Amino acid sequence: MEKLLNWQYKLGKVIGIGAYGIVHRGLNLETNQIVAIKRFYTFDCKNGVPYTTIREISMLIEMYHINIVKLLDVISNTKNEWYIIFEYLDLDLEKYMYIMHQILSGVMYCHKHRIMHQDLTPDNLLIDLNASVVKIADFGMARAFDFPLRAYSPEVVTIWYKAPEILLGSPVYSTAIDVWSVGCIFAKMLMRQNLFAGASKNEHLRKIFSIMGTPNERTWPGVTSLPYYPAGLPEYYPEVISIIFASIFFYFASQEMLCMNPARRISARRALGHAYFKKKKRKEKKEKKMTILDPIEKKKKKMMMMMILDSVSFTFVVVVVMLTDY
Amino acid sequence: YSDNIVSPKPPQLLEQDLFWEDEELTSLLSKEQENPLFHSLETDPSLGGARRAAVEWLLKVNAHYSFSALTAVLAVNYLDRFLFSFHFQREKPWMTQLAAVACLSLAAKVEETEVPLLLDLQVEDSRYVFEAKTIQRMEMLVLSTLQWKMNPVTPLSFLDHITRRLGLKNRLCCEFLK
Repeated sequence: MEKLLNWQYKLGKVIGIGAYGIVHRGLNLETNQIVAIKRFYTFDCKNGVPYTTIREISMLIEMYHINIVKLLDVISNTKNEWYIIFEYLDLDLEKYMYIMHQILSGVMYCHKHRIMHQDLTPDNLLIDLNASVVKIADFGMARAFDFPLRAYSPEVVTIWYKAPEILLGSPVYSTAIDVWSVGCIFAKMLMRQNLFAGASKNEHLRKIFSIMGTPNERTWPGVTSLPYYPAGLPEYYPEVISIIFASIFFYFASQEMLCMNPARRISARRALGHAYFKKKKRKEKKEKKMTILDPIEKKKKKMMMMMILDSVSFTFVVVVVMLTDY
Repeated sequence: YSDNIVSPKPPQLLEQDLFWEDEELTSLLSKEQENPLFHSLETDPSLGGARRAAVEWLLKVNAHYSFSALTAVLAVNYLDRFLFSFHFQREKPWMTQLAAVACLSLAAKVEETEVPLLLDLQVEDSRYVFEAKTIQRMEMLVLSTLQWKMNPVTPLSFLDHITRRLGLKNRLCCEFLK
């Protein structure tokens, strides 16, 4: 690292290059805070201080909002070099688009190596912000395929991502349970809430059945003789309403934002009030209370998947895949 | 005045912009600041004279390049704030002129789409002509003295707000604002 003369900043690696100059990662030696340092190319004198610099700094210096990049400092030296110090942020949205792909690649790798994760939840998917990668973590429930099946009680962990065959007490299960979990996570990213969320195992099963249809011997041979197959359940037919509703809200929200006529295009404010973007704070709190958390899970609440819920492109893919499935 | 006049449309008020009106006004009122130089001007005639000369020159150049009214208002705003906060030697009259050039250049860069070179800005009987390098250094001094706050609330901000709010989004009104 190159130390800037007389300053409390150290210049680190280059993290971006633009027409205006170079962005470095940097370190504030006084506070140990990691920052982004925008270093302007020395400008030619004819025009004086470039208008882009003036505009950028003068705009940002009077804005204070959690969702707007924070300008920390402006520094110039005698050599006519300019530096703007920003808060350091790890990722741009562009890199987020590959999240679902990354999750599936990780799961595929596990399965190829004869490992079932068995506890894929949003909390167990960690994000390395420096390298922009998603990592599957918490293999506390994982097992190699060859091991004999151990007694397994689904009640001790979050059951929302558990596949129905586990909940029904199937003596054999396979990598398909991880795929189910990933499906639930996809749906959660799309809908911003859990697709199936029952407080108890039975209620959870009923929720799954009510949306996906009650399984029977025709759709799933052997299902009725599974240990926990609940007797006397109503015969639900598959319904995709919840998923479709979420997709429709999303569809309308994006349609209105992509309206060609600017006068009719939805404003940011109204879009935020749109059903799809409405925060479900109260509900989520309730859900959290209901979750019975594994102690290991509690340790790593840092990088939640929630951050990436609004990534447009994958949502479309999910919608298409889900709908073509039916 | 009728709707079928074909003319380049001014920036239009869109329906959704109306949602912001109250918050916008609150923000304008909270950011509005009195001219700090006002009292110094009353008590210090030499400062008043220097300022008047500088402002007159600014307005001439503004007209020369057909800059917008806002550019002139901004340039004067920068100049006043700079003269108030930065106490340079009064016996050097060229300092006020240098500050005026820098302020106009900055205002033009904030507001205009096309900005002449620093050297070309010094028209209309500029009493002194400065090198680009000197002006640039002054620009930086002004920027840091004003703490980079180059988007002040001006009377024009309110005018703009009011006309939009009244729905006077026609060309006539925009012409007037210019």
